[in-house]
Amino acid sequence: MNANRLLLSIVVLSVVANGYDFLVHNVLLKATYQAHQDLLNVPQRLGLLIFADIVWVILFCWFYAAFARGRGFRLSTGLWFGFFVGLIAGWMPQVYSRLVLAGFPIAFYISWGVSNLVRSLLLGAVIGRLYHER
Amino acid sequence: MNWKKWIVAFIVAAILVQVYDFVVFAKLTRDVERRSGLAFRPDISQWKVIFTSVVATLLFMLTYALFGKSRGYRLGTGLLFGVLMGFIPWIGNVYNRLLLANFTPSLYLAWAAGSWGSYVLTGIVSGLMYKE
Repeated sequence: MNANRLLLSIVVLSVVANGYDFLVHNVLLKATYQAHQDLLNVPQRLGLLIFADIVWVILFCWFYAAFARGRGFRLSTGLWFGFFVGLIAGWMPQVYSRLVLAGFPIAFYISWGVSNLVRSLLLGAVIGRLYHER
Repeated sequence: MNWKKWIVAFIVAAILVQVYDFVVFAKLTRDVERRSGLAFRPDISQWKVIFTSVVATLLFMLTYALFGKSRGYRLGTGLLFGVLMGFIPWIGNVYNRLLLANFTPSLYLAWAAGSWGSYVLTGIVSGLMYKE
């Protein structure tokens, strides 16, 4: 494992992930959240959300560095990794929420499922470009 | 990729995960769900839940077959894969805890730990059964 590259990837991906989440959740989905305010915690704990994003990124990068070597550290590997992680850890949990929670709106299911998958693909592309063991 | 080994491992994992999900989510965490303020659907389609779980297992095992090679397909690899993969949706439950009203700490813990255990179990089965 290349510790310097891993650290660089964690820093860059943390910035990208938080920027993406700000754009999606504070701009694009603002109207959706306003329409379903009764379901949400108010006020949002922004600091903890940023911290959770950073922990997510650390796990994602560590996971990639530990397992992607067999396919070669390159853009396509990062994209495939991001795609599968996005489906498993981003989309599938929203399917469960939609299936079992009575008040879970379809707008949350679609927007969170899609935005999680796109975020994971984006982060996969970035780590695919950034991380290598040379 | 060794499809024959993969299909056998997938079937075994899918069955074990169903048993695990039944014990953990239908029995052990039921009271926690009832005590939370979240409303659950009265008409939960068990077949849809089972199908979703099977799809999640399929995706996990496909990812393991594609990415596990570099560390060698063995128990330790499957276990590490399951532990790491399981922690990523754990953070998803942290988001739910932070964002959703009535997503109580006990429900958060039950769902996060319960789903993490499911991924670890799938990782163990993958590590034991899948080889190239």
